[in-house]
Amino acid sequence: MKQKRAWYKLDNAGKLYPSITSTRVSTVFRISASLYNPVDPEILQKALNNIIGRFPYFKVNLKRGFFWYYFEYTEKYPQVQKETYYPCMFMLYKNKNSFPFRVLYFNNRISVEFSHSITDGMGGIHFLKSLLIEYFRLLGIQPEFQEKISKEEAEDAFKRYYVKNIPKPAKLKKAFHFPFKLNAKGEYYIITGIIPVNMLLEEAKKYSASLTQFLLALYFDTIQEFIRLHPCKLLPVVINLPVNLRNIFPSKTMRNFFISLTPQIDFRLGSYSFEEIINYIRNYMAIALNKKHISQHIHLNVKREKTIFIRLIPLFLKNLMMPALYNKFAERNYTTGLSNLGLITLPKSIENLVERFEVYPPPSMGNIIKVTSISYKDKIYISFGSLTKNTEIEKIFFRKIRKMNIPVKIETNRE
Amino acid sequence: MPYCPRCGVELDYHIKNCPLCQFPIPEIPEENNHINVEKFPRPENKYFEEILKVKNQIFFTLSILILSAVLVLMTINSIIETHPLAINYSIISVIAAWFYILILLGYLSNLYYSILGIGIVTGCLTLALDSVDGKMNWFFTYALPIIILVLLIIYLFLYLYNRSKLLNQFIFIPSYLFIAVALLSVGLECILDFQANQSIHLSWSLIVFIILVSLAVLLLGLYYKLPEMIKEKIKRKLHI
Repeated sequence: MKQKRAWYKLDNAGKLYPSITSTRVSTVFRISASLYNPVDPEILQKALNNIIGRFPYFKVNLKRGFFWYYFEYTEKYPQVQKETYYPCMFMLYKNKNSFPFRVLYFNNRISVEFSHSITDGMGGIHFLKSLLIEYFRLLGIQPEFQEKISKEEAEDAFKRYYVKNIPKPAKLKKAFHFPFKLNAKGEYYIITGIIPVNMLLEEAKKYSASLTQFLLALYFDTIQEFIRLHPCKLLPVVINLPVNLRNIFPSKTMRNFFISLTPQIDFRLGSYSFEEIINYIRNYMAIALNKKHISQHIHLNVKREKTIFIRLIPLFLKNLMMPALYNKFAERNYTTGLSNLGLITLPKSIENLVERFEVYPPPSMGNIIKVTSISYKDKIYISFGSLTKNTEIEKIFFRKIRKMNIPVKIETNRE
Repeated sequence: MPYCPRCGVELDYHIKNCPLCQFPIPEIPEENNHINVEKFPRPENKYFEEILKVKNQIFFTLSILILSAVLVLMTINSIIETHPLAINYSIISVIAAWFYILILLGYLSNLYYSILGIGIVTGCLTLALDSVDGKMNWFFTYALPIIILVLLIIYLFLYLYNRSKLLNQFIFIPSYLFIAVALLSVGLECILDFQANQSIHLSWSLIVFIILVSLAVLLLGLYYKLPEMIKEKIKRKLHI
């Protein structure tokens, strides 16, 4: 009975998302795993029922408070659904007592779509891995996998690492945006490039760069080429690079714990060679990716949330103001986003039963194209999520990789 | 495996065009050991399905409320016969509200049709309100010309807005709003003056018109920049 009424506050990053959610800006991302055999929906449902208790902070409904939304524990169980819509579509989870995530299946693929209000990519991956392990366990494959549940999983790690009285990070200005027409509401296009990860890593090593740095440089170079081919009003190009903070500030939280780094290059200063771009990114990362600099971002985010003036604004007013503020302080200042979720591993016994993992970014009107990547076994899956029919950016990006003599396979949900 | 000859990328079987460059890809028979598994369903558009569901729920609830209100008013009318006119006014307004809700919920997909619909409903509402007492006093002289004037100005504003919506909206939206309000003031005074005195002598609307149009011209002038010669002259005379 006590558990029935359990509730918790949204984490610092998550607080924003329900207020800015709309039919176009769904704030929903997808992580999916493709198996070698068709998915059995009944076993998947059983697996979901078995593991959901292990993630009590996900077995919740979003409720309205007077000042903030909050999550309330629910006795209901989430139901798996057959995939029928475009990926990452909006969830009407604010009013309908529905879960802030969904589990989908289609042929060989199992997908989980999470509202960003509840977790980030790392939390999503952990959930999907647990679901896969349980699914295969029910099929009779016992994975050699022991997992300890930590109390830290439900914590708001932003609050733990909040440092008072430090200066804020520098403000960003309006960034360059792609001049593409939006597509119809309810449509979201994905183009995934499947690339041998070793070949890409070898190429990155030539420039002494990590894979993320290399992809980032490639993306900047792509935008530079787009601007050269299609002259338009120029502003600095800023790429939003979400960084998982769990490795820098130790935490086992399954809720949001990331901040956005914002490498930027101003192509008004002239043409940049690929070496120059890589050089800039390496130096930028050295300056930005350290505890002190990131503390400033955590400080800014948590301080905004703690401000009594903001806390006292009624929720309906927050819902009215947030989309405009989010645009002003966030998306307006980014050209696009790139998120690399790194290498995924599974227990040996089920590794060969899963063909691949993919991640799709949440659709956004402010940044109509976003990129996510994830590596599994010997491949990297780079997915462009796009709210426009224009494919110029994807075309330039993948052609650049092909020019390095690296094979690329393209898949899409476009007709 | 099919390839795009332009992009050099490998593609799925049975794909008609390269997803990157739209180059047509010829149909290639599948290799013997290849098992084709669809990666995505033929996607349905969730927006129209879900939004229509929500819209229908709202409309259904409001329709029941409005129907109840009309029934209550008619019952009151049949019991108390002291203020039949007031109750008729209320019934007409409540029915008009139902039509307004129908249009505002976006059942007419096109914005121009919705605006026309609102105009027609307003016309019918004012016509019905004026004819409740059996005499036509103000509908043809005031209401109808004002409704037509407002509709024309809204259409003009939308036309101008659509032409310049990719340009600087901080300049164009205020400028066009100023022009719309200026035209509305002049139009209103013309109608009112003509009906009152059978002649047109513009006074207050002219002041509003001059001020707002000057502001609009100033904004647009600053946006499109002054001619080089005038700029040079200002620089010369006012340099510090």
